[in-house]
Amino acid sequence: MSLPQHYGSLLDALVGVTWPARRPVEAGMAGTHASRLRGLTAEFTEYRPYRQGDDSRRLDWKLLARTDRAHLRITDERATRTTLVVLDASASMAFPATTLEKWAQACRLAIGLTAVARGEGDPAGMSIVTPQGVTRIPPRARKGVIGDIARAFDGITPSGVVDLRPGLEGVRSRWRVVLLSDFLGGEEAVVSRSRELVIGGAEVYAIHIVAPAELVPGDTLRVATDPEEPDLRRTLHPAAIEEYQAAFVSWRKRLADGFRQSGVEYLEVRSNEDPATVIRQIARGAGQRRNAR
Amino acid sequence: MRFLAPGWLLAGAMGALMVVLLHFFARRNPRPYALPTTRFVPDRPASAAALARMPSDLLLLFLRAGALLLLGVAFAQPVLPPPRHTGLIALVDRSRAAPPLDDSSTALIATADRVVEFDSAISSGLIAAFRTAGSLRGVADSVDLLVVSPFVREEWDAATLPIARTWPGRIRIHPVAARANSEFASHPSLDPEDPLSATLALLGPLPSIVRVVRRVASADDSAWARGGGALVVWPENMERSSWSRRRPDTASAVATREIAVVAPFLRTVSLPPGAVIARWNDGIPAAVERPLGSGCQRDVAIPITPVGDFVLRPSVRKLTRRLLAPCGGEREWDRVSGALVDSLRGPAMLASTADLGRRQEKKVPAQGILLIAALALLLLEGFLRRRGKTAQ
Repeated sequence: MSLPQHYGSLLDALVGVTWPARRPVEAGMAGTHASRLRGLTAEFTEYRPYRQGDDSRRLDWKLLARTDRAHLRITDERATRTTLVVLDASASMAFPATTLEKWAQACRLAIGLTAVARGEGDPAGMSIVTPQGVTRIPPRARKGVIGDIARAFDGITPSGVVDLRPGLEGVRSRWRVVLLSDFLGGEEAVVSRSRELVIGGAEVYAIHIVAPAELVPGDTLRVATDPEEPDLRRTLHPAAIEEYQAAFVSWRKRLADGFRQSGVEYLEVRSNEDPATVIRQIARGAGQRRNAR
Repeated sequence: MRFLAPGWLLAGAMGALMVVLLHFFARRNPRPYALPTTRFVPDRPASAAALARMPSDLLLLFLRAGALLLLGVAFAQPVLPPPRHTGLIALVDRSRAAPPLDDSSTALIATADRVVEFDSAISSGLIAAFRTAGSLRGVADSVDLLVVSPFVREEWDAATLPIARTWPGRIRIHPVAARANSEFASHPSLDPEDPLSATLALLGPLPSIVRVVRRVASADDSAWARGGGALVVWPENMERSSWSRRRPDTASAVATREIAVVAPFLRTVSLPPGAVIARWNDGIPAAVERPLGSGCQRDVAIPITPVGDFVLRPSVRKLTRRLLAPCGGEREWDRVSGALVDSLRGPAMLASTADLGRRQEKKVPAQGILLIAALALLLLEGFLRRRGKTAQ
């Protein structure tokens, strides 16, 4: 299946969407995100008494004239937040085999999130993790980066077994990292690595893509085979569905708890959900609230 | 084509039917389905019973059913029925009473599938013919038995009719004339001074097929005996005979199977080997007989004493009659009564080969091939099944 070449409707639906950083950015180029630095911008925050050594240019001379007290005018700095989307291209993402719905949803979310980030002036990039290696599109603030990312999907068909951690190499502390995956395989290592990134100052989002057919496999008698582990064969029959669903729910809960306890913004997304809606939820930070419900 | 064990056919067919049914109700592996979350599915046996509208694995079904059918046919032992042909067994009398075969008899015997000859009793000939009839079971569906014989009394015994009645079909009779005693020239008369002449005179005329020689046998005598006569060499003077000498001694008696003569006998010679007709009281042969052409030569080493009434004793007369009997004993060449011979014919129908004891019908040569083919199908089935499992 070839992916849709045009994401126009999705990008149109995301116009005006902002994706503020959850925490102030430590430093960086001037951007739209609140920075921990105080600077000379026009956005007033507070006054602070002048201390010896302060820059005299930041004195509020009008206040000094009115009150005869020397105070500095403190303003907030605005900074950019580099956004990196890490996309899982393992065989489990090629599901269902006829529509590749999970992979298509991941691609749409990747395009939408990078478009929203770039719309705020943030550099946005992509790492597509495949069994052959990592296809990297370095974070750029230029407009054409969205097209580069869209074209990168063309030559990739999800297959094999991948480890997402190589896709996280080179992530810096102030970056925003979005993991788009079903986390079926090596999830504990990914959670651990995500925790390290969060501790290092990065903002990590784990977007867990789940297909409806995985939640409700149907009551037809079939032999389920794991595309990433062909030797794993189990009989999928009506009597086993409840047990399967219970195990799957339990695993998803453990995964969500693991990410959240690591400070990762976790959001479970259906593969058939409207991507624009999902991206707005992510941008609003509603994922945590939705999943908390 | 017939089957010796048709039950196996039914068994093979039932087995094949069971295989077909099992292919409808076969426990089969469900369709494979690629599911990334397979690891959350509980581990249960990966097969389930399912009823199908069409039999599964048609090739395997064909191989299995075919192998069972072939095994059934092979174990049923197919046989080819005997061809529609009447076999003829000619039972030919070659005894001393039977003359050489004439043209009509020879022509009859030439058409026979089997020729059985006998030279003693008809009953023994019938038994041999019945046994030979078994060999016709594969080549004929019925058997005709033809008996070519003069049917003289000496060949007919009490067992003849009971044995003949065991034959399940008819017995054709082709009587021939018995050999005539007049074929042999009468022997020259003995010297009137010979004490044996007195005994012979009491016995009456000798059969013309017996010649008594009271000296060494000549070439003419031997030639005569080769023609079927009984040459009795009974030297008047033993010491002038051609037999080996022995230390003279005296025996007190001489005996045949039925007769014993007690008297002192002076033994001076030892007889050459042969069938013993009479023995001395210590077991040494006193008279022997050996075949000579169609006849025989009988050597008698019993001295005849001219003293007293020895030659007139009844026991001596009986002994002499035995010693001067034709070859093989007394002859009874009178024909058996016609009614008795007719009773030998039995029923009018031919004997069926099916009634001749255990069947030995010709087995279909493909029986081994059937087994090999069944084995090949089973091997192929196993190979395909294993390959199918590997492919899964």
